[in-house]
Amino acid sequence: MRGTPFPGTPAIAAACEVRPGRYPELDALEMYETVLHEFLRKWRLSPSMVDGLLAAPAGMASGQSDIFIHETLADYLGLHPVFSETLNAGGASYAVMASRAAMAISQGLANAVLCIGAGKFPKVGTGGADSMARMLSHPEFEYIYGTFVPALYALAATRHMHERGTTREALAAAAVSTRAWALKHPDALMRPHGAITIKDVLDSRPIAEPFHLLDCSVPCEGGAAFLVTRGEVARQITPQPAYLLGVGEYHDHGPASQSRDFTSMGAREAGKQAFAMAGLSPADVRVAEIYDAFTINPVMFVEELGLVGQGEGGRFFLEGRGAPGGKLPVNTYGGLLSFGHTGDASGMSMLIEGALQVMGLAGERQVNNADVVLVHTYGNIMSEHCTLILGRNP
Amino acid sequence: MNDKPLPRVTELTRPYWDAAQAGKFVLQRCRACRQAIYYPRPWCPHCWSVELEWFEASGRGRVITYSIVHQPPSKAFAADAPYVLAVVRLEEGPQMMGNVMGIDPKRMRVDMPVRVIFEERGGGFRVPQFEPT
Repeated sequence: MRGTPFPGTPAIAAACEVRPGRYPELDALEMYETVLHEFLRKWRLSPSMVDGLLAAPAGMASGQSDIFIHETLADYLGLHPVFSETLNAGGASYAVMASRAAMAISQGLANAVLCIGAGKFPKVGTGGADSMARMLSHPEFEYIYGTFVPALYALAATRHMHERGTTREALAAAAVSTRAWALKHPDALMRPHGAITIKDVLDSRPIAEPFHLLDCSVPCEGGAAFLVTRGEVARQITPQPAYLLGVGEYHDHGPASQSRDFTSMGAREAGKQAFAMAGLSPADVRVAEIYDAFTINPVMFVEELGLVGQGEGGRFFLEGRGAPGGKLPVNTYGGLLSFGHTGDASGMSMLIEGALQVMGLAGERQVNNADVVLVHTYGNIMSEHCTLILGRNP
Repeated sequence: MNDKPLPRVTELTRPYWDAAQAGKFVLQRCRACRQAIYYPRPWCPHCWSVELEWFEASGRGRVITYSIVHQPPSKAFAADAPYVLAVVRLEEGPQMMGNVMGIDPKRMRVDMPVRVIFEERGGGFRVPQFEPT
């Protein structure tokens, strides 16, 4: 499938993410309140401007999901939308929301769609690892074998190392690169911990080989919101909106063991569609924001999205090409690896950063000439993928 | 014996688990397109035929990929750590998850040939697993 560009030049006109951290006193709904409170403080909007609302189910990762959250939030916000639902595609939920919002706006079904996510990451040591393994594995034919989220991702890493010659050091280099970016983000969880080296990653304790502790993202809580509207409306809200130039989506395997290609997991198809729709090629991308639950993700996806050749992802990070000062900055906010992985809301972080880079609002970490930014997200164990191409020109 | 999780046996999966209790490894096969199927389903995912049959499979396969788990997700797997979580390509075609047992995890390799064995869990319930051949 290949879509044609959206009529009406839909764009992200406002974007805001709360500081990731631990918010033990807040329940799932209060996390949403916190996100929206900050969003409305930062952006001067009114209910009359918004007639669409998409929300991810609250409390998913903790096993208490609220699938009516879109109704609850619409009432909290004083909205009476003509386009609204609770939508879930795991970590891909928010890129899928951007895509659905753009479709609705292009079809004249809505003028402006608010997209919201907030999440908590269950504590790994208190049964969280087991409950997440249960949620993300086939209940009878995977879970009984002691599945564990890092191990399920490690299946892709081991295969990538075998087929494409990726090394342990190359995976570690992705963590090093991402940490360097986190040092430039005031809210990044790992910023106070300072820079790390490849040796630090290799010397951290093994979790599920080939991953060690510093190959894994940092569990926390947080959330974000963004507004998608027609280009002409977006320009009234902000001088430089982030235009949605292309979207691509691909739903591959269910349980990880059924993946047909452990080196791609389905990302390649989503990327191809997004580029085709945008009429752009990987060479046009200036910044890439890639969902990175583990270090294998940026390495395999720079390859699968065509940003480097197959088998070159490892060298890309070893040579610092994705790091600050590199030719193609990757995960400029510090990634889930060092900014923090906010559970249900994790798929927001790379999308918000992609939008802020295009809008020129990324502060100390702003990349010059961020004209075209690729955002790649996935849900489940890299099962469902959604790629966005954002740009400065409609 | 151990307290590792047991599957919920359903009408659909009963032939698979019953065979395992008898030390046999069976798979479904589509009567229309003849492809072997794993995990059990009420239809063929290749052609959507609903005419499936069970057959005794070779139990042989090769490791597509694996991870060595050092930090177990729950107490039930603590005694096993470090253990091998692997995906195996069965000789008949389908992919299957399992633990490769009876091997020093450091000796694990992609493409390693393995065969099905049966692990006894709580109540003597037998679960298909793998060992190197």
